[in-house]
Amino acid sequence: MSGQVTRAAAALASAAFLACATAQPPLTPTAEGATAAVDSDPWQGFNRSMFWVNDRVLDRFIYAPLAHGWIYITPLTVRTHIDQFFDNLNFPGYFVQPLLQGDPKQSGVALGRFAINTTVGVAGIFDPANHYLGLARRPEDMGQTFGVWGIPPGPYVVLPLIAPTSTLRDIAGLPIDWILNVGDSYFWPWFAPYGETMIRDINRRALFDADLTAAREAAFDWYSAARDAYLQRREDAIRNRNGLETEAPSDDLYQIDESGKSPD
Amino acid sequence: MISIKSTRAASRRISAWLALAVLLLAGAPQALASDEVAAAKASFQKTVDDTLAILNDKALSKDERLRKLENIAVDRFDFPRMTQLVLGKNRSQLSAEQQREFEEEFRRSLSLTYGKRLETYTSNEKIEIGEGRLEANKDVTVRTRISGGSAPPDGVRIDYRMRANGDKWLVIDVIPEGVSLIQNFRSQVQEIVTQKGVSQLIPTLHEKNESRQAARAS
Repeated sequence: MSGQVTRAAAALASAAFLACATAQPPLTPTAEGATAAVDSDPWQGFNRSMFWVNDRVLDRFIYAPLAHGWIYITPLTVRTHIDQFFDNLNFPGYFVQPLLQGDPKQSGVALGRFAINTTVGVAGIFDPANHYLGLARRPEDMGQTFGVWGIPPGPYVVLPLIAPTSTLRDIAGLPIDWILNVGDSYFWPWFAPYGETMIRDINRRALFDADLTAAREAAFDWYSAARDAYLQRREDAIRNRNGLETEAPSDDLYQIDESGKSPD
Repeated sequence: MISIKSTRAASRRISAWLALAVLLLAGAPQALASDEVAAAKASFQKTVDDTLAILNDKALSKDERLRKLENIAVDRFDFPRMTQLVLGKNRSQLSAEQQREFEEEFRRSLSLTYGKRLETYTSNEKIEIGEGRLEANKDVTVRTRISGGSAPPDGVRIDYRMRANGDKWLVIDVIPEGVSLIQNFRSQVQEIVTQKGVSQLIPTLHEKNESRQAARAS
């Protein structure tokens, strides 16, 4: 039920957002990159509360204990293969999105991966396409395609469960991803949605457990560290298309600010 | 291709070709990449070699190993510059003494993070050093990929941004999977300054490091 409500809400938000986005001239990627971390969080009050709910309530009392139990009863290889199985189901999205991004070569890679891993890789449980042919996994989604089209990320948004960290643009892409990225989808048969998403999410949470714990421990301000990591990852995923891998992020970051007094 | 009946002339010709091939192979990286890229990569390779030598030295105690690695880090990372980059425009609000304190806490934080990371090191990890890229401001980014051992199945891509300091190439940023450490810390610094004021910046870092160290010790 609530899944349908959130889906409908996201679809609405999606339509409204796209209407706004097309009415505005898109920012250039460099301008966007330079200001991304500073000006991108106008709804911080709301986001911080939601982040707290996600992090200190839902994760702490539900996801983390389940993930730890899962780690206890499964070996790492099993978790890896489960993740690969779900990732293989994302084929439609991984195929369609690069086409929309003008990167048909990557669609070919996705097609090859799906054909090989579904057959030789036993329904995607194994990843021979990467191990033997070097066709590496590269997740693609609607938000990335919007980014390639020049739509800026918009405000940073945190929602319980459906978007632990996100941006308006990426949330706008979610309904499409739910249809295309089958393995990441809440679009599974109505009679079995929660079991599937539970296994997928808990398994993924378990795979990232060590990284998450380390990142949380290392952060001086966990909220902004998580936000910045998400924004940077997304920019990287958008930039990281075939032929453009070598494009550098903005050099501005590496300019030492000389406006203040010098240290010595 | 080479018949058993090859004459001395033929074998001499082959060795000439071989010599040429070796020359070409040896000369190729320098000829293709600019001097900056080659120098930065050489410096990075040395850092990797030295680090691996320490990691694989089983005779060292955990503390000795960490101390030796810290020494390498201090030598090969440009912490003063990293501090300036992380502070960004907030730097003007800190005295030279406060900037040194900040650098100290920043370094300690990294040491705590990587000290813990290294405990998962299994010696099966492989580090591939990829191409280097000369940036517009003459920095060099060296691409690497770590795979095997404790790394995830697809491996981890880590870029290292390096800048020349005199004749030494030093690391000024670590960028795992596209997430710049400098940018990430800078966001946090900005957030702390906005939320709590600049006077609380160093105390916040200090408190966090103390609590991490205490948790580590217990």
